[in-house]
Amino acid sequence: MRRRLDWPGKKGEGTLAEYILQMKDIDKTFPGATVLNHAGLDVRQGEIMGLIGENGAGKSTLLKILTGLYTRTSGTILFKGREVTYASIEESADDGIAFMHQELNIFPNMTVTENIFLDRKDYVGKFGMIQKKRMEEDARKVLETLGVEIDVNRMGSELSIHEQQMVEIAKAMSMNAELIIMDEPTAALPENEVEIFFQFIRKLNRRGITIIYVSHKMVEIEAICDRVTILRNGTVVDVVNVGETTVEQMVNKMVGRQLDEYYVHTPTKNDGVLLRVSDFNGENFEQVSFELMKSEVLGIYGLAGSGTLELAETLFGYRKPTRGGVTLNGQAIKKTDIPNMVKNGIAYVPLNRKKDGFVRDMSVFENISMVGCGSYRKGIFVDWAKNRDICDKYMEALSIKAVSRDTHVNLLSGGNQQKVVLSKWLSIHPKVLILNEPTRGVDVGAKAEIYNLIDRLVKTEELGILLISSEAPEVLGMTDRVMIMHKGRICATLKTEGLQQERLLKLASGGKEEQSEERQEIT
Amino acid sequence: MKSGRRSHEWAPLLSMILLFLLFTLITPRFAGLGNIKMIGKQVAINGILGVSLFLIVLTGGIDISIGSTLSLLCVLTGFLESKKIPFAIVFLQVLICGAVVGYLKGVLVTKIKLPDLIVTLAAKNLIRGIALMFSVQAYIITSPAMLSLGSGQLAGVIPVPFLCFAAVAAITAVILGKTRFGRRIYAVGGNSEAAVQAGIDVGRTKRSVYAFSGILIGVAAILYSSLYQNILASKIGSDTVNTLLAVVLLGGASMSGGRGRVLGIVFGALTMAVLNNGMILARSTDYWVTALTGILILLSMLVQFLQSSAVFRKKLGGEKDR
Repeated sequence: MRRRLDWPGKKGEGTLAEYILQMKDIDKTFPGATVLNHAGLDVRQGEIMGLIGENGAGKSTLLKILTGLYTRTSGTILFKGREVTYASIEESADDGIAFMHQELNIFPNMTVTENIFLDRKDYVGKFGMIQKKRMEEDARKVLETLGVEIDVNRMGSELSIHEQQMVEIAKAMSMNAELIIMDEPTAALPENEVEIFFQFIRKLNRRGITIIYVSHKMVEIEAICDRVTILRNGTVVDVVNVGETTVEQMVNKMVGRQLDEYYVHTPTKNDGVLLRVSDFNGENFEQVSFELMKSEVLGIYGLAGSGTLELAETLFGYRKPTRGGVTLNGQAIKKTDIPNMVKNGIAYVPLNRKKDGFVRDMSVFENISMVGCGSYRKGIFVDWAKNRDICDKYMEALSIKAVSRDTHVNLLSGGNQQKVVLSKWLSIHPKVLILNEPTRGVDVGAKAEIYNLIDRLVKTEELGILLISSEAPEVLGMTDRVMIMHKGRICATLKTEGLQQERLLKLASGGKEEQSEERQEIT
Repeated sequence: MKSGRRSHEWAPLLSMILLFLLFTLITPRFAGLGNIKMIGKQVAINGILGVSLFLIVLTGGIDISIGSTLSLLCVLTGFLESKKIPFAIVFLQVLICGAVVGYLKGVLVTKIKLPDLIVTLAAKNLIRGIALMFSVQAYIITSPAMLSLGSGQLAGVIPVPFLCFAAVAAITAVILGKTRFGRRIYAVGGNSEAAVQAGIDVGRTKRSVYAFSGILIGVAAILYSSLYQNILASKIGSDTVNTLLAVVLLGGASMSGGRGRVLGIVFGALTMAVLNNGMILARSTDYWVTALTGILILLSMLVQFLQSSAVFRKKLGGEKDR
């Protein structure tokens, strides 16, 4: 289904020639590394231009050069036909380029009004005093024209992610931005709000605003963009029209090699119950009962707020269950706190990697050996030599791209960071591995590697995997069975094979199923 | 629910009133006009210094060298006074010197990117050392202008030092609340990453704040000299940091930056002044003031924590995943 059909008359094919932005032959070298090599970006007036590339391909460097955060080594930039070189974000913003960052830049301690108009010189009145009244009125006007209902006096800390985004867009609009750069704008949005956000982008686009859309999510690129610029290793590989190129072709150009089948998981034979959870209750979920088989990938699918996060964190012992119990290999686990869960072989790869997954200021080695280092000892002392071997083994097995095991984790790309988190847990040979959105913020190549790893693990190691995800294709492609959660309860447990995405979404959003005879319910 | 700026001012105001009532019951002399004037005088210095620390804390920083900076600027005041230089010029020079010292601290924090705790710890020792060097014997303040500043009263009721404090607080409040510079300070403290993206020069803002804070220390130094007249560096500001931190915390500021208002700091300073004064009148030993301060801070923090966690829980209702 091509989206183009539902809003005709956006632009005639004949008037496409005019470019709002032309970046030509942009080179950027950092000491010791060439990040951009004759890269460019040509964006037509009024289009939505996708920008894709693996982590490190140079997307953000290119955009930072455009907005004046970095200086270029060579090359020219034409904006609205004029040659420009911005010295700061302020300058590029004054000229009509707004940048919406992946991490939303909301000030929690300021009102919506102030978040929109912060540090704008047009509101400085007599004696350097800020004209608050006028600012509030204007904030109200901007939000109104966007059709958004947010009280301008609310504090930034009270806004939902969606509202924060709207405020960011209002900010861009208030600056009369003609070009808005959106860097992974849906990274923090629950899947069911993405479509609302897209409608919004289209509305902006109809008002003649040009958009550069950066994302790892090919589904989104396909749904929202007109054309796509593909970057690889600092060079533009191709610029394609979305309607004429398949996602596979784009991905292959982006990674520069034929990606093997993306979702590699094939069903495994289930030999016996590994984990039994019965009548489990806790914060935001109730009456959850299920069984995880050995060598099985069991998916848990639910929209944001459906209780999947709390269920996972309670299973790992981070939160306390109010009722119910967990049995592992037939043995009831009595004490449900994290140390005991880990001792029993339950491992958890958390949702928010940066915050909960690893220690930023520690090296790859320190992070990987964090949990397992005590298992290898010489007398009462930790055997670090042995630990280093183990670390190297996992770095190789998971092909973690780091200069050495002593590299700081925060210098790695998202995918490699996630592999470090995985290695940490794999080193203690867990029996149950709980993965919460394991591929969030991870580029396509690393994503494929993580999927490969999941499949390899259940087939070679004696473990079961709980895969929590809000990405329907991931759940459908990588699991043997899937439990669907809605409002804290499990509303269905289905065999993944032959399951349709529509049915999954419908169940997850609370839709009832007609009592069909071929219902695939298990347990 | 109507939501807006959440104010934390009632907590220090309440504790101040409660303490005031308590001491009135214990010692009848406490609520007398003379003693209230005395409190007004006593609050001035720690109040102004509290505001100057508050500014730093607002940006998410900390300055533990305020006490020694005070002693240095007091010595400078004493030195200039001993040379019979006119008051206006002394005043200006001390303020400028305060700004320079503050700015230098800011440079160390922002340019060399050392943690502010380390920079100001080093600065504390360095500055105190310099102050001691120039203060072998005490300077005695004798000029009439200075003396009348310390002991003067407006309309025979309001002590001039208190007026100075009120003026400093009012000016700072207006700068923080109504000017671009003030809003930048809140922005830097609230989310410095976002401030960078919004085109704010975080480093420059911080340096300006340190300089501004230094000017306020200069004002406090002039007042100190005029109130106590006998200036010996070793006697000044050695335990100021503790008191000031108490003032700032009681005043509702958050140590992580971006939160708090000058009005809260004023109440926080008044609370501390009432506590000190009342304890002395009640013939309590110093230990009790110290211990009670600790309890007061704990209680006030607890109240704030409960308040913010209640808000937090409500907010969590919809958004679990951040």
